[in-house]
Amino acid sequence: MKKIITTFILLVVFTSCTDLDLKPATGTTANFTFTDAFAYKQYMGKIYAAYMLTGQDGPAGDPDLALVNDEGFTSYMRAYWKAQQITTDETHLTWTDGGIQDMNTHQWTSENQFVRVLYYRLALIISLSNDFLEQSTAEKIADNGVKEGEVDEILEFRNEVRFLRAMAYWHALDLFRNVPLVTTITSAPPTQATPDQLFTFIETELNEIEGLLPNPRSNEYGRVDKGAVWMLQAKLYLNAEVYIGAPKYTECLTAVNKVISAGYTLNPNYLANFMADNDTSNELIFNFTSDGLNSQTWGGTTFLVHAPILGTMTPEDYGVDAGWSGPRATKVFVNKFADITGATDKRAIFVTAGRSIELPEPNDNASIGGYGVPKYVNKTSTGADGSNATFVDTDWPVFRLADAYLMYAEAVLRGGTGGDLATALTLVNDLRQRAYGNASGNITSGQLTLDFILDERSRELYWEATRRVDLIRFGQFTTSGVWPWKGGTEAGSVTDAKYNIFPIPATDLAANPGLKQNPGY
Amino acid sequence: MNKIITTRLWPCVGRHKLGMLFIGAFLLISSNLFAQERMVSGKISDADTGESMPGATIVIKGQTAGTITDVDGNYSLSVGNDAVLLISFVGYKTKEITVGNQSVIDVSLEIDITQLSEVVVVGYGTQESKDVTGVVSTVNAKDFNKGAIASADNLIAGKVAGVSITPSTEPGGSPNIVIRGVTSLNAGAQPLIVVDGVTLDNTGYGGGRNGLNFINPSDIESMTILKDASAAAIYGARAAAGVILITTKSGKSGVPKISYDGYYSYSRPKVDYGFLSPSNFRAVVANKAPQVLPLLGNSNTVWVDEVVQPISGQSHNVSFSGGTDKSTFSVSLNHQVNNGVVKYSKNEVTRANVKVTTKMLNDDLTVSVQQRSALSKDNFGSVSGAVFTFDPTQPIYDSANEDYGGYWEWKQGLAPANPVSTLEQVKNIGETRRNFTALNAEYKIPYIKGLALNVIGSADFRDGKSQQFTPTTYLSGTSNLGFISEGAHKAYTYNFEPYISFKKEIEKIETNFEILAGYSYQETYSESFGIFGDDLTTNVYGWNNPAVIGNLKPWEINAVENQLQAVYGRVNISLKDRYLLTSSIRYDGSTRFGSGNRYGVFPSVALGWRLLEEDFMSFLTQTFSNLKLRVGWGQLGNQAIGDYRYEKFYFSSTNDARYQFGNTFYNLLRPTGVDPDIKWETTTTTNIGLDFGLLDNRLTGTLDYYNKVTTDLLATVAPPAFTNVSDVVTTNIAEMYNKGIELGLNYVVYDRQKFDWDISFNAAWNKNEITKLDRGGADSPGLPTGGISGDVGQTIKIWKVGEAYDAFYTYIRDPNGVSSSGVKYQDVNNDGQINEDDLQIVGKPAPDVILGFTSSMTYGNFGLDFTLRSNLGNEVYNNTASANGYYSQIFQGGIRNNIHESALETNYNSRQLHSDYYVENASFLRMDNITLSYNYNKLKFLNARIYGTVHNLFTLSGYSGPNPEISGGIDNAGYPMATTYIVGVSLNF
Repeated sequence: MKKIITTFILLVVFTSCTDLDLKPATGTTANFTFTDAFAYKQYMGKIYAAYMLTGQDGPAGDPDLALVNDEGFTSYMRAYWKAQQITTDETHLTWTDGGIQDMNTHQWTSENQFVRVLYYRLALIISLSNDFLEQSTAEKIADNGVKEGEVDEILEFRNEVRFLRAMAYWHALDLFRNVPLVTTITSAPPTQATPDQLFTFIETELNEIEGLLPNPRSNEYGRVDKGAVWMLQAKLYLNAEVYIGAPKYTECLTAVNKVISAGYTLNPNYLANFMADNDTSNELIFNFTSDGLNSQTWGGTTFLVHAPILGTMTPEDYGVDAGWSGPRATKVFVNKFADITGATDKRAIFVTAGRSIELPEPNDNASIGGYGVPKYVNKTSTGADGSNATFVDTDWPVFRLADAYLMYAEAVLRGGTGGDLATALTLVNDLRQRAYGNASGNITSGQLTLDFILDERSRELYWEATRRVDLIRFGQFTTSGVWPWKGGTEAGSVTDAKYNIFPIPATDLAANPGLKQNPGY
Repeated sequence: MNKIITTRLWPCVGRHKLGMLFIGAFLLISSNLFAQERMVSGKISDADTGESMPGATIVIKGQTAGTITDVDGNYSLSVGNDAVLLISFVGYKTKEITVGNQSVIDVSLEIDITQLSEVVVVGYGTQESKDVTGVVSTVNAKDFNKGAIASADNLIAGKVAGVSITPSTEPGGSPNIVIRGVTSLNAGAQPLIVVDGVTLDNTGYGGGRNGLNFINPSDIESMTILKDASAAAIYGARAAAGVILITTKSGKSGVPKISYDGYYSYSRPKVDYGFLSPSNFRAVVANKAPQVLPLLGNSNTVWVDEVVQPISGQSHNVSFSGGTDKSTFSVSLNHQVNNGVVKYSKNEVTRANVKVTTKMLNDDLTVSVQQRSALSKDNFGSVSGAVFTFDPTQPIYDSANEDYGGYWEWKQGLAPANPVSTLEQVKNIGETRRNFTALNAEYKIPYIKGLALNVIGSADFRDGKSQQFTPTTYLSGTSNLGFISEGAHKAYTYNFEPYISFKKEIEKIETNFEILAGYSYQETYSESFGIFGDDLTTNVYGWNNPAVIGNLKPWEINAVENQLQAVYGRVNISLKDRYLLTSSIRYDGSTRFGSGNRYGVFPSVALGWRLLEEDFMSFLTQTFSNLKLRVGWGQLGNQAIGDYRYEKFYFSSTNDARYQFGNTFYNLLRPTGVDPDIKWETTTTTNIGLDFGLLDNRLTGTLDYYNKVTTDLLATVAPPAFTNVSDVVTTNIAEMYNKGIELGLNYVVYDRQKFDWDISFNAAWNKNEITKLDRGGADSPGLPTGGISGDVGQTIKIWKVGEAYDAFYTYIRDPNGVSSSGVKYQDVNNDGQINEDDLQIVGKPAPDVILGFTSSMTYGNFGLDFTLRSNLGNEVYNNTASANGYYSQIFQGGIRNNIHESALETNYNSRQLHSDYYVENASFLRMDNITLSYNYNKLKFLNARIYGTVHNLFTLSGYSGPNPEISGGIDNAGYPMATTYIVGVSLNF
């Protein structure tokens, strides 16, 4: 009997009271994770990838965003491309997923799931960057026991992360205008910053890291350098009137001049910039990398190659196994080219066989309406297929020298100092000579007008996710400018100026009642 | 149904028989034997079953002399000529027999339904039901549902007021159990299951359908539901959704018993999903899309009929039990084949159980050990998508498609695969073994009367595998890479619960009290890993050789672990047998919360008042045979939120989600998004109840009113953007209440020797409302929830303050007409446009009222039992109709698709997922179970029962889909419901 009681007491005493502090077997807390530069690089990689990939399992399975339940939709660049293209005169998308047609027709609301992707992706990129910067302070690095020799490398990563965050804030300023400015991880609901505050933050950050980042083309491929900073500065300043109502064309020219003199060259083959080996193109200033085997996603360039392949086109011609019968050219865009066959201006690559230029059925994928635009392909410049027929190797060109040339010309025409019309004409004609193969397409100084620039930007930079920004800068996006299905009719109609920016998603208004919805929504 | 009356349940009676045998023997030895004139002898038996009754007491009226029957029920006694015998047995009506000149007196005793107070199982012990103050409902084996029962939950569906058990239509599937309304937004809300004192953890049950499948339903003696907080608070942090206590059978001393139960079943599926027949499809195409007519095929294929079939199943159960007065044992072996009405789907379970109980040290130490093993094999299959929409004018087979298994296919990018090809070529199986070992020990310390030490210990091992194989002959869209997946799962749970109890009666103040104090520790670990991939080089090995995978991917090893520990105590006081108090407290700690919120306190207190014991209430005794008022209050927690939700962890990406710098690909680190301040959900319940008995307890019942308020409700929602490293976090955001009234009635209509008829009825009304939501201001529409099919990212429900949980949120059709596009909704806010602001709440999936009605009738050797179940006031969103009920689907994505017949009524040309048309009243009345049986007891060595049962004989409902009972209320044409016919036999040797 005593034995039983003793055993009972011993059992109770020795088994009781653990501290209930468990760590998972397959993940670790920050202090155990970030003990060397390699781990920090993996985290920095996540922030780059947050623009392209959709989650931790390729191509889908462990998504970053839970608020939209088709993981493929949640690729930032895929959503950004739609926001910049299908809302404009260049592109129409026939898909019927909830919210797509509203993007075509300028009828989106704060419930639109693609708007939600844009907003929450940017918020995620910014929060991940903030967390990275918190986890990589000199103090934390020391506490985590990182070897002395690896510390400098981690501090360099911080500059790149600051760039990625500044770029996300530029997108947020451009797309939503009135967003919170948050630079730490916090649980306090933030309030909205003014466009001026956002603009100043981006400007200051870029100025600070400009001197800290490596020289053009001296960093590892895929990582940002000074060239990317200059391009972002140029775009921020070029659109400053839209953002803060103040012209900054001189500052724009300062940045563009640095790009132009940095050693980048136009690729003699225009389309090579959009092929599976475009990492070798000296025209591209900064790319998001893509790889058919190692970086799989249903977004990114995989979307860019598959989606425009229409029912009448052969996927194998573009190095992939399927077409998604999605975006197609509007009539207005096709007609920007005097000769749409590509015989004179080689940038006109329309697929017209078996198709019609009209788009009577806005939401029928199988419709023959709209010409195909196979600008991005999963074939190399020598005609070889990419490494995988489903997921493409083609990198996403974020900044391209040709854009710098056109920004130069526009900033000069808009009165910026630091450039001249003669150089502007030369740069524009450089692009046209490449397009025509000779000087037959060259323009005269008299032809170099702002209206010409807007059209030339379309001919040169079409489907490169810059059209919406350009149309807004030229006042042609909402209250002026008409193209098929804008406003909901085939003929097209003007729309309310509120559509120049997107609404704050209803989800965030609910989570953060202090936020004020953008005007008109 | 709070059962107050006695039952004819064997274990209960058996225990008393044994006890009476001893008491009788004692009496016999110690009594003075009076003058004896002559001997009478005879046999005492049960009037109902005819079985002999050992241990029955026979005394001579007015004297203390007497005897008890032996193990065969025989007695003999010396009596005087004018003697009157009093023959009694606990739970039976005492009989008086005048001896007269008889020398052989055989007596049969009838059960006294008024006499016994049943002993009910409560957490950490038992209580007499008269002393229970909480809301505790017990269903005993006798009252269980009968027929093809695959798992324990099916035994009590429809039996208990306020307990909604929505059975799975899949073979061996997991039910949805809701006790007194939903108390959780999207944290887990299933009740805690406790088997013989061991709290179960069913996580990590990979490869299987239902974690409860390991318990052989015929091994279960009773199931008890702790419905309110005062009863359940002793289980603290896991009890918010209620607690179900399962007590398993033990052997009885005496002659060993062997029994065999077996049945054969035949299931007929219900497949009226509402899609067009081939000829109707042609007619609709001709009318609505004539340009498509030339594209149609020449066949007539009803795809669902190719996939679904009537099917048979069977079960065999052998049990062997017995024992001595010191030790008992019970052994059972069971094999059950539950074939699914979807071809190839099935659940096959083999279960073995051994339970041994032994008493030692002068019976002070009782040790019970049980070992339950089960092997559950599941073949998964379902009807969905293409089964309904695949072009009914196309053939099943196409000889030109030899490369694709010979099936007709679209061979287009986003087109679905031929559903018969999917059924026959895509294989998905799971296999789970579970080994459950538990020890219950009780030691009554000899020199302190009433003090006992108890230990519950258990080890519960689960391991399983899941395998999928798709050959390269399977064409989906334009892809035929094949697919192999192999997963291995394992998990274990350890429990250790020592506790002390002390019982004492203080006669001076007529008080009984019982104190209990204990410690609890539970640890669960589960992990799964495996490989998968496509691009197979050959099909010949099936899933057996992953080396043929061309594009191989490892699963991330997913391992989670959690621990719970607690101390708890309870005191029960009964004063003058009429004032009752129960109070408990549990201090629970869980690894699922951060150090600041790791521990929670869950108190309860309940009072009971047995009114009839009061002198001043004596006037009531004319009417009532039992009357007890109960008032209880308590707090419960919910911690089923997943592990590690309070601290950021960094996980690495897979090899196909890497990012390139230079020529190197880097796996990516992503932090988890967490709320570091996450804490328990707490449910506070107040309950006022009345137990009553009328007509000498022929009519018994309970009436309860409750108010459950759940605070700090957890939900996975968007935090303010730009603050957290994830777009959603699990955090405490809401409050909700459930209020309700429950009534349980049990009426013994007849209890004659040849004819017995019991009926019981239960009704529960529940109202649920969200009272707080930390999202949005006053004008916020609420939080959308309830994802639906038909389009990406669409939801149909909303959480909104002042509304029921999961309310359906749609546009309202305008009664004044339909536009040319086939749709017109009401512009509720009159702003000239139809948008989100016009959405309205139009229903909810939870019923207002749940009803259950059970009838159990015996006439001679015939028995008729049935259970009717009904839900009233619930709505279902018919997603099958909404996703497919529009004309333009006929020709979409370059292929022809069947459509839902609702389009003929709505005339919708485009998809209208958010139309209120699809929210339907889904109230129903269902004949769940009806059994006719015949008992054959003419043979000495054998008692045989044969029976026929029908499950789901009929369902009355106005709902348009085949099954109105849809958990969550979004009908996506799940696994087909079936009507099952069973013929079975029970043999007791």
